Amino acid sequence: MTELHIDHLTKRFGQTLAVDDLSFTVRPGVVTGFLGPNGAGKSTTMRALLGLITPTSGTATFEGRHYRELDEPARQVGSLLEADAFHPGRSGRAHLRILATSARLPRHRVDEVLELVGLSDAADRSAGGYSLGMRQRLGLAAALLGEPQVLILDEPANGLDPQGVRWLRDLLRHRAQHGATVLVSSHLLAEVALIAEQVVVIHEGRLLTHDRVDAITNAAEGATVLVRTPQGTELLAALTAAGAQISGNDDNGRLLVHALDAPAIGRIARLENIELHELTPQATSLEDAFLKMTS
Amino acid sequence: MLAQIRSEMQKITSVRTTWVFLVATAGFVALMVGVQAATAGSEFVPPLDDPGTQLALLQTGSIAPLIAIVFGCLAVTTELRHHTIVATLLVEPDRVRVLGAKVVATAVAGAVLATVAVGLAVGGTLAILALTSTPVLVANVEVAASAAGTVGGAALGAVFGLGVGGIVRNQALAVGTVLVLLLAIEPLIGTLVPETATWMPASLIALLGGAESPDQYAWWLLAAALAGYAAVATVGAALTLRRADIT
Repeated sequence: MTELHIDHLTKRFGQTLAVDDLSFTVRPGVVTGFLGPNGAGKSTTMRALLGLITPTSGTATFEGRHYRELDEPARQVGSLLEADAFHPGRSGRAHLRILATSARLPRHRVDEVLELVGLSDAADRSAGGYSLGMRQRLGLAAALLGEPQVLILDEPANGLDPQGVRWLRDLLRHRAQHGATVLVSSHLLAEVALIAEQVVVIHEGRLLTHDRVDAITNAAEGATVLVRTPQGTELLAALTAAGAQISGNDDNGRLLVHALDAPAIGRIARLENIELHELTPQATSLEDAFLKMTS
Repeated sequence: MLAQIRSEMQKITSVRTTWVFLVATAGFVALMVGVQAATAGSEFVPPLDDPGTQLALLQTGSIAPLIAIVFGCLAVTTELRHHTIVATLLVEPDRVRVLGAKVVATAVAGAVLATVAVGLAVGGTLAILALTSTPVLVANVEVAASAAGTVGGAALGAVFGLGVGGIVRNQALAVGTVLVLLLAIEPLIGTLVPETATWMPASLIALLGGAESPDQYAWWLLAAALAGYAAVATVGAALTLRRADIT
């Protein structure tokens, strides 16, 4: 059960500030999504955590221990940073055997993870001929090789077919339920909404929010409710007087009401004796919330 | 450390490039032995029963250390080019240890490459001499010293190439740097400052492989000088890789 601690992490590449005083904690037992637009600093944060880049200041540790200080990093942490990190002339099996040898893992683990990710049939082909989805599966196989309790995956669903995405989602949830610490970055925001319970959102290297996925979507939702009524003018006046903001007022009597929730709108309509044909809270996707936060 | 060395050996043997190097080196040596034997006894080349001709044939494998330098250069830059260095460092985060394993594995690969080249040159020459009923006029000890010098030179040369590759990091630039260093800068310095000529890498490799020189330096002194180049390049690579951000 390992927590990941990002503590006042700052990384500067020349004049570019990639990560700016970033702090958050990733807890075991849940899948944590790591969101941010391109260039937000997600990969830099993950690489700092994995000891591949040196922070300008701050720390990124596994409960206070740097990656290089872990006793057997491949058995403790599994990571996927880029799908193309293999020699194109080497077979998938050879790639994994090399890693298994270095990590002193038994050779049968290679066959097991190849089976797990569905690459057994293609294992002896040159990895250079793999599709993007197969490369991603090879990367995931490498991450799972040491049966680690911590998974750090950068865009793992990228290139996977819908079946593969579902498999990945089930795998990560299963691992988390058994106490693993799982940090998954993605641009597939809808996918993160399905996989993750917690989400860390960063923008321009800074933390925007760290909360439960549903809390973020609810907060961003701002109680937008679709209302349909044959008495649009009267309802508009009543809701505006109650402090609501109205948008999307159309000829079909549909109003998009902000800043008042559905029960409040229903009460006002009843008091004003206004007939309602529809009263639907609008679910805001994580994507909308994310775009709202980073815009 | 043993696990890392084994892993590095697997990297070397699991890509086609290694076998291309080996086959190309063997093919080149076989071709050169054949050409030299075929032209022996012509207007400008002494006959096969001349000790000098026989020695030249027997030492054809001495090209191997120069090929091993390029091989060593590729051994590290290929990792950087294909980003496999990321997976390598995630399993073994100690970069100096990774480089140490690469040094051992690359030295072994260089020695094997040279052993094949030397074996082919010596075996081919002896076969030609036997087929033409020409007596062997070169002492065994001289052949053995030349073979050992070539194999040792190739091992050290491969490590030198590895070090340069680790410092330069870009594959094309690293190979270009090594070739310019050996084929252009070294002869230039040798011409401008003749007393340093013996102590340049390519010259040391040639002398270890049995090339004649008016100065009779002990083999261990030549080997130590070449090991010095390899050590300096490796330390440079270690300093570069320790500081580098792997992005």
